[in-house]
Amino acid sequence: MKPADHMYAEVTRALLYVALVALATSLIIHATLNPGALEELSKIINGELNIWAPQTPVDYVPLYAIYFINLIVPIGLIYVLPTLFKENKLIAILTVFILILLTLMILTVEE
Amino acid sequence: MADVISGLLVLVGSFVLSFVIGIIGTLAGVGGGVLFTPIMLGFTSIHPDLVRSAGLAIACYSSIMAGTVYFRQRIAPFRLILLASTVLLPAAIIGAQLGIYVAALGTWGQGLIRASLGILLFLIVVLLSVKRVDWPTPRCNSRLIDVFGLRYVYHEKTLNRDVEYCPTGLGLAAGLPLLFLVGFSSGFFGLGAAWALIPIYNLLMNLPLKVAAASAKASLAFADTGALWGYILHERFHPELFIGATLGVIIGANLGAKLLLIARVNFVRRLILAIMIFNGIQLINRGLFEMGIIPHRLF
Repeated sequence: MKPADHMYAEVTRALLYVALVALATSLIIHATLNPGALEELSKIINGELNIWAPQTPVDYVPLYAIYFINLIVPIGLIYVLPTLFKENKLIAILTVFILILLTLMILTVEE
Repeated sequence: MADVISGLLVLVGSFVLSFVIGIIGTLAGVGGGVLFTPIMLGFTSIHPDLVRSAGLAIACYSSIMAGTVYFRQRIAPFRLILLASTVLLPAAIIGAQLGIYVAALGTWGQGLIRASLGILLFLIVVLLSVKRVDWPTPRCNSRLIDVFGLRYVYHEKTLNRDVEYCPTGLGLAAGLPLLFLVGFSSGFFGLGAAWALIPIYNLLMNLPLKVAAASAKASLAFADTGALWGYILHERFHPELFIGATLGVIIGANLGAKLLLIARVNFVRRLILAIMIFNGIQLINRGLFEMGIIPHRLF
């Protein structure tokens, strides 16, 4: 059986490549289908905008891509947790603490 | 239509700038994340929250990418980094929340962020100039090391032998509180933190320099993921800027890693340190003006 660090590296590498492609694709889709996003950029450069929330269905495309890339670390940790528990119980418990904190942050966004 | 074209120029411009930052940051050994935020805060009018969320994303995703290589090679100790993350993560979340709160105070708060980041840049320049230890003698006799399983071995190709390493028990105990400050500054300023983590891992915890550098790069993924969710929660990001800057730095950093073999690294490093000093002066100048402490910007 592979050690936890190898497993984590493998799963996060696969997820990261998918996420980077998703980010690039979502950027092109969003900029093409919602020219308003580009208009917002010209406001941003003048410091007139500091907050962004999805307004149209196409706005959710980059938002979900960003959600996905931010889930790589928790997914990787959940994936290796059983192996980590066999390797070192104390570190596994600390990892659960990290996962709880991340989950709390994510769930707050979901609300 | 003019606004769309102007926005497109901003998108392309931020991508190109991030791409260049990714290349020179890697060549100089400071990482792109630590250059992006100060430059954008010092020389553009983009709101600090949007800059910091993009800067944090750059630091976080670069760190995930570094982890995919270094954890496999055992150059970065996975269990030590998880232990460090139990301190870095809450600190980064607190830093991010406080940073958003301070920026919401208006021009004064944004000035405070700029001025304090300017001061921090000088500290970074000092820390980047501190002499490090390439191969410290491992002292793995602490019970703490055994309890957490922090004894590691990897094959060092340049020496053609296996290298054993572990943090010292005392260094671990002294280093963990410092990690809180590092995590906090990363979340608060939206910065990478290899500049602070390398001395902590190398000089305090007694890890070999190569291991310390790899560990520093791979450490922030866990902490900055949490801090980033904070910025997303408060809707303090813009997808085009966020994604464009992130992709720019990551692609640039990959090219920079290839250029490392042929570039005049010392020259680039000195150039970056000079840019950081100038950037620090500019940030302090602008920050103090925005806080109303000086009546005019000096330049």
